[in-house]
Amino acid sequence: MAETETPSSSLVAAVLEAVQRSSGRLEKEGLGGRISRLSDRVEELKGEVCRMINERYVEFLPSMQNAKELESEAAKLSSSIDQLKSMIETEVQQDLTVAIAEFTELKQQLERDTLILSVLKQLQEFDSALQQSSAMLTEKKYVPAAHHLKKAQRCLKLMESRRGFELKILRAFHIELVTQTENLLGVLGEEWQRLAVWRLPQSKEPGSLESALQTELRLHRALPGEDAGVGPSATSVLRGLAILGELRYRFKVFGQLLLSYILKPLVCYPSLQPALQEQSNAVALRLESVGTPPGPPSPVEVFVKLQLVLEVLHKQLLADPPDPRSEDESDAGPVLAEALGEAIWKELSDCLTYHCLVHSIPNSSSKLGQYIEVINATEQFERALKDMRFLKEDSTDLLTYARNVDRHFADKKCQDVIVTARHLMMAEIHNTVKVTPEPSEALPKLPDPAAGDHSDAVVLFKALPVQGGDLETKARLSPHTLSFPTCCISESVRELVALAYQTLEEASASTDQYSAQLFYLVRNIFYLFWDVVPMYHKEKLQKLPQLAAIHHNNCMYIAHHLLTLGHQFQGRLSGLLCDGTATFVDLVPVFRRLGTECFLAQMQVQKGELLERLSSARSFSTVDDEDSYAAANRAVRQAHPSELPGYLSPRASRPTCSFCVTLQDISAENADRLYALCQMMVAEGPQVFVPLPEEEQNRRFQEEVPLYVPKWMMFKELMLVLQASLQEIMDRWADSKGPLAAEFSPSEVKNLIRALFQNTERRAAALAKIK
Amino acid sequence: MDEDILTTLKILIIGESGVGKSSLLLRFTDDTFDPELAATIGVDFKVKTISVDGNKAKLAIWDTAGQERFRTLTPSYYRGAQGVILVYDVTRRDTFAKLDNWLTELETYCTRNDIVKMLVGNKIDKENREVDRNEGLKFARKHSMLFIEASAKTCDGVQCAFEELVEKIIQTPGLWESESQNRGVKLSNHEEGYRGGCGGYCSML
Repeated sequence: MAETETPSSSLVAAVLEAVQRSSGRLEKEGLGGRISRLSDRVEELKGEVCRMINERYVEFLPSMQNAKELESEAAKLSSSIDQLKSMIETEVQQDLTVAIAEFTELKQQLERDTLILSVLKQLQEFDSALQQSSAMLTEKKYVPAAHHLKKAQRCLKLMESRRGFELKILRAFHIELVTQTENLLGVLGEEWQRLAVWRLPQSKEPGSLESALQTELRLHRALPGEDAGVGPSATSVLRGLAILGELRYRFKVFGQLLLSYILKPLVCYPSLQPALQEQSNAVALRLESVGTPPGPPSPVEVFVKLQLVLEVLHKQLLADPPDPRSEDESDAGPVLAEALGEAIWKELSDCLTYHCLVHSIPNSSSKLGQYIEVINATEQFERALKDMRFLKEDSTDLLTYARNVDRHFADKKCQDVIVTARHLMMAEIHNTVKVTPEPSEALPKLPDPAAGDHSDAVVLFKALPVQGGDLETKARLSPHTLSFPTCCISESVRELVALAYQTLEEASASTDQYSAQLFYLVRNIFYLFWDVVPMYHKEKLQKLPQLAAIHHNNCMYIAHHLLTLGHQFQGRLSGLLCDGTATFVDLVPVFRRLGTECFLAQMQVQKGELLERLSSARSFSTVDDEDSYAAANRAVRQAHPSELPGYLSPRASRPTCSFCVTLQDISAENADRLYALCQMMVAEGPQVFVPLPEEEQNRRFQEEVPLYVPKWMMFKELMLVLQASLQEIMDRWADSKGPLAAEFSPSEVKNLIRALFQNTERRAAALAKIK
Repeated sequence: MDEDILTTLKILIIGESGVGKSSLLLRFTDDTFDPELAATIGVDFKVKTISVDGNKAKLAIWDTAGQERFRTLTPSYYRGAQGVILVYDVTRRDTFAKLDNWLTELETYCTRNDIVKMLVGNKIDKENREVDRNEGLKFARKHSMLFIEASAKTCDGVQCAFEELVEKIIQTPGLWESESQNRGVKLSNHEEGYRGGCGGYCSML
C-alpha cells in the first residue's frame, strides 16, 4: 500500500509545485483548467487505487490460500517419507548382518571341509604308502619299500606341521610309521649282515699282525633267496639304507672294521697280502702273510693291495647300476661308493701318510729323484679310487702329500737331526776325547778368496804380498796360532759339531727352501744346546769340578767352530742365505759365556771350600796336633785337582796360595812340618799346569807359575825363612833391599823371626836392623 | 861383622837371555863357573859384602831372568835399585842391539833417575866376537854408563865391574847415604845426583 501512496504523494507534490510556480501569473487564467485537470487526475488515481485493491484482494488471497494448502500437503507427504525411510533402515540393516554372519559361517565350513578332504587324502596317501611299503617289503623289494616309507614320512610330517590341528590318529600313525621304519631297517640290517659277514679274531687288539691274519670278510653280491632264485642285491639293501638315512651310520661301523682289520694292517705290515676266494655270488677276503722282509712298507705295493681290496668291495657291494626308476634326483640318494669313501677316506689317507708315505720319504737328498715312482703310483691310486667313485673328483690329499716330497724330506731330516742332537746333548759329559790342533776330520775349507765372484777381495789379496814381500818371510805366525788348543772335550760334543757340519753339507747341496730350513736347524741345535745342557746336567756341573771344566772346554770348542762355520759354507748355501746372512758368529759370545760362567761358578765353589778347610787348619800354633796337620795336608792337596784340563788351570791355582799370608803366626817347633807342607805345595803346585800332552813341553809352563800366581814369590820367601838361619834371613832382607823385603813388611818379618828364634842378643840385634 | 858396613846397595843385573848374567854373579859371589848353567826362572838373589876404598858395602844383587816370558815380573825388581849392570854378549850382536830396549825399560821402571849404570860386554874369552870393544865403549859413553868387558869363565873384569859400580855409587852423594833414613820424598841433593850421573866411564882391558 505504501507503494501506491508514494506516486500519489509525488503527484500532489508536483501539482503543488506547479501551483506555486505559476501562482503569480496563472492565478486567474488557468485556475479553472487546472482544477479540472486535477479532478481528472484524482479520478484517474481513484480508478487506479480501486483496481489495485481489487487486484490485491481478489487475485492474491485465493492463491495464497491455495499455496498454504499445498504446503500442508507437502509436509504430510514428507513425514510419511521419513517414516518410510526409518522403517527401511532398521529392518534392512538387521537383515544384512544376519546375512553376513551366515555367509561367513558357510565359508568356514567350506574351508574346513576342504582341509579335511586334503587331510583325508594325505591320510589315504600315507596309509597306502605304508601298505605298499609293507607289501614291497614282503616282496623284498627294498628300494621301493624304502621310497614308500620315505613318502609316508613326508606325509606325516606335512600333517604334523599343521597347527592347531591335532588328530589322535596322528600319534598312532607316527607309531605305525616308526614301527614300519624300524622293521624295514631291521630287515635291511639283517640283510646287510648277511651280505658282509665278518669273522673277527678273538683278541681285543685290532691292528696287530695276528688279529689281521685271523680276519675274514665274506662279501655277497646278492643274498641267496629262500628258493634257488636270487634274492635282493647288495646294492638294493644299501640303497634302502641310504634312503632311510641309515647308510652313513652303517658305513661308519663297517668302515671302522674295514680300516682296523683290513686296510690299516695292509698299510702297516708289508708282509700281509689280501687273498680272495670267489664263490658263487660271494667273495671271501682274507689276509695272508707272505713273509716279505720287514722294513717300511713300499707305497707302490701298499697301493696295489689297497686297490685290490677296494675293487672287490666296489664290485660286490657298491657297483651301482643306474636306477631307471628313480626319476627324481633327490630320491636317488648318494652314490654308495662315495658314502663309503667319505666314511673311511680321511682315516685311511692319514694312515697311508703316516705309516707308509712318511717312511718312503728318502733320508738323503740323493734319493729324492727316485721318489717320482711313488708319486706316479699315488696318482694312479687316487685315479682308480675316483673311477670307482670312492673319492670325489677334487680330492688330492695323498698326491699333494707325495708331491710335497721335498718339504717332507726336509721335515724328516730335521726331525732326525734334532733327535740325534738331543741325544748327544743328554749323553754323559765325562766321556772325553782329546782334541788337538791337527783336526782329525777334514773340515770344509774356507772360501778361497781367489775363487768365485769376490773380485774385490781378489785384488786386495793379490796386492798384499807384493807390497809386504819381505814381511811375509820375517813374521810368520805359527800355523796353530788360531787353532783350538789341545784339551779334552766330551765325545758327544765332538759328534754334535760334526753333525752340524754334516747337516750344513746337506744344506749346501739342497734346494733353496730346504737349505734355509736345514741352516736354521743347525742354529736351533746350538740354541738347544744352550738351553738343554746347563739344565740337564745342572747338578753334575755344580758338583763335579772336572765336568765343569770339560763343559767349559765343550763350550769353547763349539764357540771356536762357530767362528768360522758360517764362512765355511758361505757361497755354497743357496737362496737367501748366500749373501752373508748365514752366520753363527753371533752365538760365539753366548757359548763362551756359557762355558766361563759355569766354570767360574765351579771355581768359586772350590775356592770357598778350600778357604773353609784352611780356616779350620789355621791355628798353626797347634800344628803338632795330628788332626790339624791332617786338615792342612788335605787342604793343600785339595788345592790342585789334577783333572783340570789344560790351559785354564792358572785361574784354578790362584786361591791356593792366598792362604800363605795367614801362616805368619807360627811357632818354631813346627817349622819343619810347615816346611814339608809348603814343599809339597811348591813341588806339586806347578804340576797342575799340563797343557800339552808331552811332559817335557809342560815344564816351560810350570816355570811360569809365578807369573800367574801373585802370591807365589811370597810363598817361596816364606819357605826359605822357615828353614833359614838368622843370618840367611838377614841377607834375604838385605836392609829392606832383598826379596824378603819385597814380599813382607818389617813387622811381619820381625814376627817371623820372633816366632822362629829364641830370644838372644843376636836376635835382638837382627830385629833392630829390620826397619 | 855387620857393624862396619857402610851401606847396603841394591844392584840389578839385566840383559838379554843367555848373555851370562847369572854366570857373572856366580863368579862374583861364589867364584865358580858352570858352563851348563840353566836359565834363570823369575829372579835370583845373592848377597855379597864388598870393600871399596876401605868402605865396606853389602850388595843385594838381583839377577833377573832374561827370557821374554818373565818380563812381566821384572818391573817390581827395579824398585829402589841403586846400580844396574847391563850385560850383553860380545859374540852375539843381537844382544848388543837390544841394549836400547833395556835402557828404555830401565828408564820406565826405575824409581830414581840417578841410578848408576854399568855396561858389561861378557864372554870376551870366546873367539867369534861380533861386537867390537869400541862399539861398546861408544854406546856406554853415549848413555853415560860405565863400561867394561868381562868374562865370567876366565874371571876377567868381573870383580872390577862390581867394584867400579859400587865405587861410583858411593861417590854419588844422595844416592845411598840418606837412603836408610829417608824412604820418603827427597827434597835435597837432586842436583848433585845429576852431576854424578853423567860422570865418566872406566875402561878396563
